[in-house]
Amino acid sequence: MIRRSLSRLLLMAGVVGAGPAASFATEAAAGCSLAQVEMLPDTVTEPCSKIINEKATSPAERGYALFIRGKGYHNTKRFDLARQDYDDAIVLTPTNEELFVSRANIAFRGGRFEEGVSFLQRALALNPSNGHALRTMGSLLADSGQREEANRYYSMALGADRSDAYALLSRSQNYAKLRRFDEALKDADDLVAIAPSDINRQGYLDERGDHIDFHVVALKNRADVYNAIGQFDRAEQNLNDAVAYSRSAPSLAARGKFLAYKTGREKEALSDLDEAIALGSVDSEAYYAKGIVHLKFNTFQDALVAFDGAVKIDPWFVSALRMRARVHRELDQTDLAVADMTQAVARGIGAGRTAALRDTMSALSRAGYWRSSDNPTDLTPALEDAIRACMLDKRCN
Amino acid sequence: MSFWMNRLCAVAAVLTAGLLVAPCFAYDRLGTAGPIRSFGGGACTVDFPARMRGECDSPPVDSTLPPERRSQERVERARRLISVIRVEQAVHELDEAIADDPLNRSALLLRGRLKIPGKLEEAIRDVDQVLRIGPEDSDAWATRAYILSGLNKNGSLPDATKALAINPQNVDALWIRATILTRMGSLAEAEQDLNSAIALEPDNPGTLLSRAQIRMQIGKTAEARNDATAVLAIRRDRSALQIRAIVEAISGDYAGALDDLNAILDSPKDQPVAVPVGRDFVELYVQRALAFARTGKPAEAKRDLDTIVRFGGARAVLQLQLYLRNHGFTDVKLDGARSDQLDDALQACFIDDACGRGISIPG
Repeated sequence: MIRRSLSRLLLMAGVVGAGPAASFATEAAAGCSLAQVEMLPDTVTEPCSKIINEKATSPAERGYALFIRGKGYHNTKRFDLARQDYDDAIVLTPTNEELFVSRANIAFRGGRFEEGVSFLQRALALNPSNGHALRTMGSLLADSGQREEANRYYSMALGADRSDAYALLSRSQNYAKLRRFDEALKDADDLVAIAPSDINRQGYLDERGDHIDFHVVALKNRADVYNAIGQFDRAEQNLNDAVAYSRSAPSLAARGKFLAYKTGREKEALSDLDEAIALGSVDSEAYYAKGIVHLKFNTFQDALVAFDGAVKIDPWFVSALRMRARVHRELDQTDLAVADMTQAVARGIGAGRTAALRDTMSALSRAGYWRSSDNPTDLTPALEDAIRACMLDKRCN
Repeated sequence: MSFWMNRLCAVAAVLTAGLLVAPCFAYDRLGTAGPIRSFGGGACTVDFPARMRGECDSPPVDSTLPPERRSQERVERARRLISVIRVEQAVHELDEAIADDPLNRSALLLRGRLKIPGKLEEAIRDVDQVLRIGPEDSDAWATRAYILSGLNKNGSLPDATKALAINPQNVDALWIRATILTRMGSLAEAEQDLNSAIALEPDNPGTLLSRAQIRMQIGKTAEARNDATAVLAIRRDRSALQIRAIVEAISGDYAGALDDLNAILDSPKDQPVAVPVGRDFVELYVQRALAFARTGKPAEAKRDLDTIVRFGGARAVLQLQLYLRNHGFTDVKLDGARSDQLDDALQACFIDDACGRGISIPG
């Protein structure tokens, strides 16, 4: 549960904008600057290291160089190195509030929730109006189900910086979850209206830490809102715009996933998903959508490969495990089917993911193989038997 | 609302005694929120094919009416179509009503409710639109709560609670919140909501049956039996019969249990005339086999077990195998196939009483 609930936090604070310590004279000359790390994060290591290692460097300058180098590591998925630099920087520049926000994100990515919260609190203690800390607080609240309160924090973050793309994105998504689609759409519009060059200065790291074009993310978000309110043409237009703007794995995967669930569009979906995967997509849901399309075509071996891909990327993807189990069942591979379904249920129980578990338990219950109305808390022999019965019964869905 | 409806009905009954032919319903036959309570009920004397040809349909709405009034007339016609089980035509009429007046909340809500079976995403879009137009619509909040629950999405309980904050006497909203609470495992709170709903509308078989089912789960078997009996006084209901049979068996009244089970199932014979489908098939026959065994009729018990194995298909056999494995016969093979080993285990478990005395199949 924690793993999933942290996803928004991971997305949120991958990169933060300029802090109050941004006006160092050494920045431009050394290439160890916020501007540089926003544009080309992998290029700051050397110039920053030079400043850090220079004996004459003042503690404040060294702290700032550590911060920038840490962000360089952060934005290129070297999270342990980023953490070391941030920790060293905190000793030297304990009033740099942005440092604490970035450090909190590293903690969240590592699954150290309480540590992340404590760094966030320190950032807000230094500056209660810090927009980046406020939006992260919003995400904490949203993940704990306090969506209205989360919006208050996102709004405060936007009060500090009207063009905070993360805050806009999160508030839009949050409004959509609250089914307040007019507001969701307004934020989505504002997000798309930010020029690609500007929005990408803020950077977007997905939950794996991969850098994604933020304008594509914005278009996809607006498509999601239109999809939710049933304006499918507009949703598709946004996804077409995303592909036209950047024909890349994320944009193609987004359009492919959308089309995969639209009757009669499966072949186009497959084309997009195949291209996304060929371009290196590591989006488990893209693989999953491809598996679903193959299931619709009754091409079970291809479906198996696709679901296999989804599970390899995300071993905790319970729905993909369940679908792979069903494909094994179609192919009369009962033991493999049982193994996958058992694993899906075990992961659902272990992670406390009641929604994912509910689908499986509903299927077992409808088929008459499970009589309790409560979700199980253990993988008992009776439950294992029920799963095997379901995997012997092709109508148990 | 129901209270006032009851009062109005009573007054009308006094004033027009002897003139009324149709019963005065204390509540809206369609209900006001969530799934449609009951389809049909409208006066239609023609046979089914003629009905499907539209011979019971009310006349089309006058196209010269102003749009808003025409839209509302279409809603009324849709309701009449539902009463003669012409659901597709009713949805079409509501499409027209919404085209005439996109802000017609009753049209949007009714269309959304009609789409609940099978088209939840479309249903919720209609209900969202109702809430955009009228954020204080208790029925819309309740309906959305029901749909969100069906979609396994968050927000169903707050929506139901909001519906009841707007109108605490919304019977359908009470039932919907009880349904959501039941799914969440909050059975005592669910029962409270149903108590309130039944106090407002005592003759609603749906809420009575829901309460009977909850009371069975929390061990209030005598009260559950009373609710089931109340349902059966209103209509024939298989679930109510089954609940009552289980309670009767628990209290040792196997003859009573047999009476109720016989009202559901055919008498034991070589081939059942009507085989109950779904998970009930095995459960009902097993229950009756046990009741037969307890009342000294092993041959009938054996025939019921035989019916399961012969006519229930692989799923029924799998269910029996699971039951046996969960009751000490751990060597019974789990493969969905009939075998001598299975027959022997069934004999031992049910006829020779090796599985204990519980009549229902526990989880």
